[in-house]
Amino acid sequence: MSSFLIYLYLECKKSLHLMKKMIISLCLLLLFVTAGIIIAAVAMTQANVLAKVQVAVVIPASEDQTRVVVQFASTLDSIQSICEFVYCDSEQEALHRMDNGEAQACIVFPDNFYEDADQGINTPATVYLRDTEVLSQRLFRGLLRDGVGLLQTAEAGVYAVLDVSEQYPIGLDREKIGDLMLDLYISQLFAGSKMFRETVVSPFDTYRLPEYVFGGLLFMTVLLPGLCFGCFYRPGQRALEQKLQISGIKAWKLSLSRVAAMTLMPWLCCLFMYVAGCVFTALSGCEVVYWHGESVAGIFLLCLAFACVFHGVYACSGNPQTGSVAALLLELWMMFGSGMLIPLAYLPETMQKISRFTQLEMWGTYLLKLLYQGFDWKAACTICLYAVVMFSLGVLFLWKRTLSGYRCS
Amino acid sequence: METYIVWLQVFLKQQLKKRLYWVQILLMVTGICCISVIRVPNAKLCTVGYCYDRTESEDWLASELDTSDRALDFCFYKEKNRLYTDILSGKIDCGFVLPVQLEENNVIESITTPMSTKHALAKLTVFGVCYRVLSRQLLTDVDSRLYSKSDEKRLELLQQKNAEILDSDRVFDIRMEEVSVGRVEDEKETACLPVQGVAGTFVVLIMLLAEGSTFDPKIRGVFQALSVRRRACMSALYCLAAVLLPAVTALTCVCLSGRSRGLDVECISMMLLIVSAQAWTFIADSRQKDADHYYVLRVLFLIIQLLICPAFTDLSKYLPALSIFRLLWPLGIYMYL
Repeated sequence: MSSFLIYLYLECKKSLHLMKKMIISLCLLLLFVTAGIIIAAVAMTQANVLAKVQVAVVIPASEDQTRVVVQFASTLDSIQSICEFVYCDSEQEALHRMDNGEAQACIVFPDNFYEDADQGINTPATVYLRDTEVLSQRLFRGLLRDGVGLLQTAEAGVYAVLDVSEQYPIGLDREKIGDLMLDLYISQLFAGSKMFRETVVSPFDTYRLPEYVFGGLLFMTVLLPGLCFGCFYRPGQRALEQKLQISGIKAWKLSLSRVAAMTLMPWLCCLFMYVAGCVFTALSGCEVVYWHGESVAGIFLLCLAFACVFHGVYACSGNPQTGSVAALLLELWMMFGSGMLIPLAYLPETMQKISRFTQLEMWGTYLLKLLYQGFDWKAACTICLYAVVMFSLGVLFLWKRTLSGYRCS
Repeated sequence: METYIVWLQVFLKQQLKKRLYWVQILLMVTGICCISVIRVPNAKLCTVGYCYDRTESEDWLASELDTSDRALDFCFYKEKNRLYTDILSGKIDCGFVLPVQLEENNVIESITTPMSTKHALAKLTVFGVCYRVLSRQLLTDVDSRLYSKSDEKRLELLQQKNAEILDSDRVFDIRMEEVSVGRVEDEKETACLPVQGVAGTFVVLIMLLAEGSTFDPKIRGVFQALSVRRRACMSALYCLAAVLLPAVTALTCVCLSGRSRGLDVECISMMLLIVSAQAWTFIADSRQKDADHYYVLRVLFLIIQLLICPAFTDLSKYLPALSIFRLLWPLGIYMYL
């Protein structure tokens, strides 16, 4: 037992020494991975930002009611998502803004616009658009068309009833019929928002983008140190393995020591990132992650599971070179398959199916739930199952290797 | 020269015998295929889906929504689940599940994502179409409310008048005028090459992995026995042999992906990539004596390249100097042409 503990201590010491030796490389790696993931997230967000159309609006000073209606309209979601209104005093000023590139469209309301509309005279408003059409302007044109379409529908209904009432008298005067119909149409217009039941589906599941990004970052932090673990499996170790066998340290104990040593380094890196995330949340006010003792323990389990997987990979590969290549390929596969680099929903369907079939997505699910919702037993069991299988494989290969070593000698 | 050709053949045979080498190539092909079909939603996406049971109802909506002069492109989905999947995967911006028959108290399910930018506009468009249908129903209700006796002829006249007025110039309209402006700031186009970025990264990665395998004492021993000049040549040939097949495969994949820049440009770019990557691996190899360090550094090398080169995002928009600085890196040269 004491020789096992000494060996365990030595392997952990080796791991810490390796970390000390490569601290600059590791820090640089973490720094660039952080920068890369943040830039990718920002780029993804930026790609979805639609340039809003700046609309110069000209309303004559006497048109107070029109101004109130336009100001009300500017608060509607559909309008806010596409354009921003800038109020101008004159048509010349609005056109000048367009010419300067400060506005991309211009709406000019004529004098007596509201009064005319109230009396059923349709004095058209003039809309100036640039002759070179970009996407936002195309959408603005669509918005105008839809908005005007709503007004036209209501107006046509009111006029139709008024026209028919001349042929088929109702017993009410024309103005009252008009008011009644207008009320009906306006109430139906306002009931429009109740007509829609909104369902939000997100590729990030229930997580916000900063949460998803931080989860991805932590996942990479667990994965990347796996590339340095080749040093535990150098050819010179074989003689040592045989001597350890003689001293009673069997293949499983040997594997256990190595797994413990390989857990230590990523766990310390993750702890550093986790604390950095908590400090960032506290200082910036941007909610990235909050400190939970449970998360620290949960991350340890994740690191342990990854260490078992890496142990299996390196032990099966035989030599550190092949092992590091296999580890790198595995890491790439895990990054995509877990959905922590790019959401699974954006990947091809075949890959999604493979990821779900092999339960790779559970690695990401486990980490995200651990950070933001609490410990997930189902995901933990899945990754533990992976860990046990890979650990057993590692033990088997180490045992076979030491056995063949005996035979050779 | 003949010696070098023989060495190249030997190295190539040695690589082809490795199972891991084929795994690398397979992974590269998978990576390129994946990246060429990954669709991340962007602001230019103008497709909106809608779904309702067409068999049980008249096409009250299709004719209204499927008109070509709309700002958004509406497409019909037979299955609700498919609509959900396509919205989630970013193939369409948002979607609507409509009732079989539109009535006043019916609910339309609108499906959106946090990345959607056209949802509010699409909602307005769908409501605009529904408002017309509801207006016809409203007129029928009003007719029965205002007149004590129902009259089919009057109701028909009312609907006919409504349709006529809607198409006439009696209703409010806007006058659109196009003006040519002095300065036009178009929406910025990003020239990112994700497929080429991934292909180039894999080729460089395979070369670095091959170079990393020279840390194996057996291979290193052979190389150390050679003169400096021959060692450099052998090292270059070793990397070239390792990268030859992956480069041809990557080139084929890029050309077949439909996002190629033309066969000639892709071929020249790939050659430049191999030459510059060889130079880099040679420098890295001569500087690094420790295999552990080398593994971390090569990942670092790849990440830096992916960051500064326009594979997924073009950072030179914010840092113009990057467009020159990246020419020092193999991936930057590969994506330059």
